[in-house]
Order: sequence, then C-alpha cells, then structure tokens
Amino acid sequence: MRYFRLTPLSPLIARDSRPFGAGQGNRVRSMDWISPSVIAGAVRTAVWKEKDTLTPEQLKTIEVHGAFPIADEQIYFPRPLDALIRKVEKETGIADILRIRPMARGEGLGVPMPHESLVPSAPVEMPEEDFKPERSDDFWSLEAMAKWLGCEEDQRVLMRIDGLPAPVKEDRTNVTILPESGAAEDTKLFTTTGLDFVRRPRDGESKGRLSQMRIGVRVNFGDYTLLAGRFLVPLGGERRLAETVESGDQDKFWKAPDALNVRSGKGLRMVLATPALFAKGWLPGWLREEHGNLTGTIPGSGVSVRLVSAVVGRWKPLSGWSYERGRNGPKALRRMVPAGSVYFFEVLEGGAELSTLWLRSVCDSAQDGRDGFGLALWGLWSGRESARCF
Amino acid sequence: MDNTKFEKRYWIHTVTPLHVGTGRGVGYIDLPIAREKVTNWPCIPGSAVKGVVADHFGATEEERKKNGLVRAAFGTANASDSNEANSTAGSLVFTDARIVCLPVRSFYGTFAWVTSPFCLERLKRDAGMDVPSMSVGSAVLTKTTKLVRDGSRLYLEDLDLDCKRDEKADACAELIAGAVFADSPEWQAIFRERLAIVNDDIFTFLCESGTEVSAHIRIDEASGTVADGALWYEEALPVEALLAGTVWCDRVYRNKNANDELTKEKLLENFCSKPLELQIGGKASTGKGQVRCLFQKL
Repeated sequence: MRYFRLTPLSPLIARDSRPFGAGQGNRVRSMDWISPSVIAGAVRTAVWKEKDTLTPEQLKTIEVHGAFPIADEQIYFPRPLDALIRKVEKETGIADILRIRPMARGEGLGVPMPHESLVPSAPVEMPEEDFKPERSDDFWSLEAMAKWLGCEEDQRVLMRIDGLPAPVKEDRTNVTILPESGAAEDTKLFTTTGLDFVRRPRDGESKGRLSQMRIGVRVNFGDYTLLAGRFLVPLGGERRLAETVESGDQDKFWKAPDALNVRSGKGLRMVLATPALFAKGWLPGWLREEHGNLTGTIPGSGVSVRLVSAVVGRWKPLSGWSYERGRNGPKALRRMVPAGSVYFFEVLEGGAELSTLWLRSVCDSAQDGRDGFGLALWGLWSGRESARCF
Repeated sequence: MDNTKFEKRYWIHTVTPLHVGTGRGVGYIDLPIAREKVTNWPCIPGSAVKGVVADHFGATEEERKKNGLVRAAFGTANASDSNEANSTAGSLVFTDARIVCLPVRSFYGTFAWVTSPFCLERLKRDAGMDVPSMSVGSAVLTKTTKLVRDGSRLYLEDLDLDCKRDEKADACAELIAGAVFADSPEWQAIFRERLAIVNDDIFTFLCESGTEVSAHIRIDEASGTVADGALWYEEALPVEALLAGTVWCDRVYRNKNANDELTKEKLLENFCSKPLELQIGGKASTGKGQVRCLFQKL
C-alpha cells in the first residue's frame, strides 16, 4: 500500500452526469466531492503514461481507494446520515445530536418497507416541538467519527464534531477569442463550476491563517509500481492539475482507531465512507432472503449478519468518460448509494475480524471495490430497549 | 520515470494594468476582475493564459492542422462534428496563475511588493523555502528594506503595522527576484528592498481594497458631452503585480501517421522557455494587459 496526498493546483471540476458540449448545454456543473472512480482513473492513466504497454485489464487491477479530505493533518469522512443535528452552538462548536435508530417491530410509520423483515429508522428522543435540523459540516474528523461509531447508546448526545465543510464552488465564464478578429467567437460562451480546495474559514472566523485542503488516497499498485513519489495528474474536467505527493506516515489515517472496539457488539452499523454500487440498488447484493430475513456474510470476513434497517440518502449519478481503448466515449449512467448512508445489522455469527474490515469495499463487484467504491466504516448500535430483537 | 522535469513554473509580471474580467459585477465596480472564490485574491485562470500563449505562437485552427508541433502543444478540435472523441488534446497544461506579490502603496519606499504566508506556502513546492509565521497586525521585511525609516512601523495604504526584519524574508525575496528579474541585478535589489510579508487576513484586505479602480465615460460624438448612462467603473490588477502558475507537459498526443519527432522536451523548449511578451485579458485597445511571461525550471 502506498499513500498519496493530492493538492489541486486550480479549482477541480468534479462533473455530474449532465451533458455538455456543442448543442447539449453550455454549463459544466460540479458535484460536491470527487467520485472515487475519477481518482482511480487519474492514477491508472498516470501509470499508463509511464508504461503504455499495459492493457486496460492490467491497469484495472490497481486498487485506488479514497478520496477523503485531509486538512491540518487530520483526515475527514462524510457525515453519517444516522445523526440528526438539532443545533450547533456557534461559540463552542458543540452539536446537539439525536441518534437515528431502528424502530421497534410494529411501531412503524405506516409505510410499507422494501422488505417485510426491515423496520424503519427514526430519531430517538424526538422533541415535541418542531425544528429544522442543521445541515452542519459535510465531513467529520476521524476522531469524531470514531466516537460516534463506538457508542452503542441511543440517547441524545452533545459532542464536538470538529467538521470540515465541502469545498466551495466557483463559477467561471469562458469565451473563445478568435485570433483573426480579437473578438469573442459567436456561440462559444460557456460556464464551468469548480471546487476550490482552500479551506473556507467559518462565518466570522479570521482568514488570518489560510490552509489547503488536500485529497487523501490509498493505492495498491500490485505488480505495476511505477509512479514516483511526486507527480502531477490531470484530475476531473478541463484537465485541471493536482500535485500528488507520497506520504509515508498516513497509515494511521486508514486504520480503525484503537479506541474503537467493534468486536464486542451484537448490533453492527455499517457507514459508507465512499459512495457504493450494488446490483440491487440500495441493497447490498451479498444479502439474500432466508427464512423471511435478509441475511448474508460481510465480504472478506466470516461475519454473518441480518439487515435490520437502513438510513440511505438519495441516489447520486455516476457517469464518466472512458479512455479505454476500443471503448472511448461516455460511460453508462449508474446510480450510487451516497456516502454517509448507514446500514444496521444484527450479528448472527462471528465478529472477531471486524477491525480488518475498516475502509474495505462492501460492493458486490470486486472491480467497483478496486475503483474505490463502497469503502465502509464500522460501528456499534444497540438501539431502543423495545427495538432489540436480539 | 519522474514526470517532474516536464513541469515549469511560469511567472506573470504585469507591465500595464491587467483586466481579466468576469463580466458585469453586482457591486459598485461594474467590471470586476477574476478572483479566487475562497480567498478573494486576484488570479488569472489557466485557460486565459493558455489561449493567449497559443495565440502568441499563431496556433489558429489552420496552423494546427498543418504544424504538428503546434497541434501537439495546443490540441485541435475536429470541426466536422461535435464529437470530442475525434479531437486531439493539447499536451501543454497551464494551471491558474495565482497572486504572489501585490504592489501596494507604502508611505516609505513608494510601494511595497506585499505577499503572505499562504501565497508563499503555495510557491514553496520544490523550493525548500522557509516561510515565516506571522501574527495578526505584523509584517516581516528584508534586512535591506526601504519600507521603514527610523522605527518599526510599516505604513501600507492606510494600515500601520508592527514589523521586524528577518532573514527568511530575504530568502523569499531572493527566490522571487531571481526568477522574475533574472537578468537585472538592479531590479533584484529594488525588489529586495520592497518585499513585505503580511498576515493572510491583511493580504486579503489589501487584495480587496488595493487594486486599481478607474472611472470611465463615453463621450457622445454629436454633443461632445457624456453619453447618457455611459459611466462605469473598471477594476484592474496594478502594474508590477506578480503571479505564478505551473505549466506541465502531458503525454504528447500525435497523429499516428505523422513521423515528426515530437517530445515533451521539444514542446517545453519551443513554447515555454523564452520570456514572452503577451497581452492577457480585456481592454487590450486601451493598453491593458501587457505582461511579461517568464518560465522557470523547477
């Protein structure tokens, strides 16, 4: 494994799948964060540029995992969707969080569930009065995440998230100037939106010390270790560049924190750190119906589980442009389960190997895993007293 | 193989005020300049630099079809259809040029080339430069500074700042002056005497308030007086501003049938080695946007 940090040298364009080009649209939009396949493609293309005899099949064996923001020597993960933030104290940064947990069987919200063995999830200790949840930061620090995942309780909690907002979007309007006339060419006006990776100071915070947000990536080159410790790669749309520097001591960012002991629990929470692709949409393909329940073995482990509930965000589009020989052109659109989605499991058997699952892919296809999709973080839950089914 | 040697830093030194605009503004300035989103510091988008460099080398579509070197450097679009799959990407990639030094009016020394730790941090890559840390309200100057006299106060625009002299500032000045004024020891000395490093907050304030804003009117030919509604304010980056970016040579994409020897070295040597005199941005016919573009090996 080698660990890299990417520093964008210009705002990066992480395009969504809307069309752009002559006659198709004059606006390039950007998603909030880069999808894993963009980084995987960039790293593999960089390897191919060094050794162009490698075939697409060989290049696809290179595992590229990420990408996570790194700022001020901390790694961040997408906000878990089982946290409902009621309020964040501006001065102290302490957030009042309600935990979203599976409801008791029969206590449902009166809506049909995708499978009869599943129960809906809802916030515990929901206050009587209405409130609008705070969006809060898009990313949580590893420390906050470990604290959140390691806690089995379902009660309301006051904690510091120490979060990081997503990169700010920057719009640019571009024209083509004709060398013959020095004036703008007719119909050649378009706008692009990019992500600015300078860390945004919070409201009212001094810009006295600006810092750079970087992108953390883990690469397993397998048989094709070619890249130097520092190189430049074009990343995302419009060939914006990112400086890629190898960092030897990043291993700690990619390991489950020692404080987090997920072996003991009977209830297991799976949080997607990168968007996932499953054959059955939101439902992992390794879960099958058995005796009226959705059960299966977590990939790469002997842990057998039953799905109890899931908190899944709205799907995100995934497309792209393939540079693969013979397949050059736009890729088919796929739907991703967004990062931050949480699955609640009941452990049926095993559980000792869980620490090895940290940031491993849970996607159905091994290739999607090598492309960096579906990297999971693991935590505990026990749920409401009445909801306990074990 | 290390691809770093196919990378150069490019410097933009403004010779006349530079107006890389963003269209009509919503503030009191009608025609503001392009700025980075988070820092609000002036910048030149890489696409603007690349387009102008391509133009400087006469890279018209016709020329790109004829000349393999120009086509490899700047790419070519297939005009017959809109399918990008049939186009060729240019190999030279320019990043945005980001501000390094902003000229700011100073009570002593006429003007100061002001920079900040974050500007230097970005520039630091490969240079092994030691960037001084700053506290709010202070500035770091070189040993030979002309920006203060008999005391320790630096007066920039209407700010007065505590300041100290530090060797780290001299090292920064050496690096920048060596790159931008390589052939002129006199200018290197002038630069060293005027470099001031201030905190990022103050630098942002100076970037927002220290640019050149000029009022323009249009005279109605018939009446000889101002045409109705024809008053506007234009912003420009002042003369002597310094910006820097990176130019990198990607894999050389060439026509399969072409047997010309095109290499990354050749492209960089041809297009990114000699100093260029360019016109960047809008308002060219009023003299705006004359810059020196210099390339520095890393």
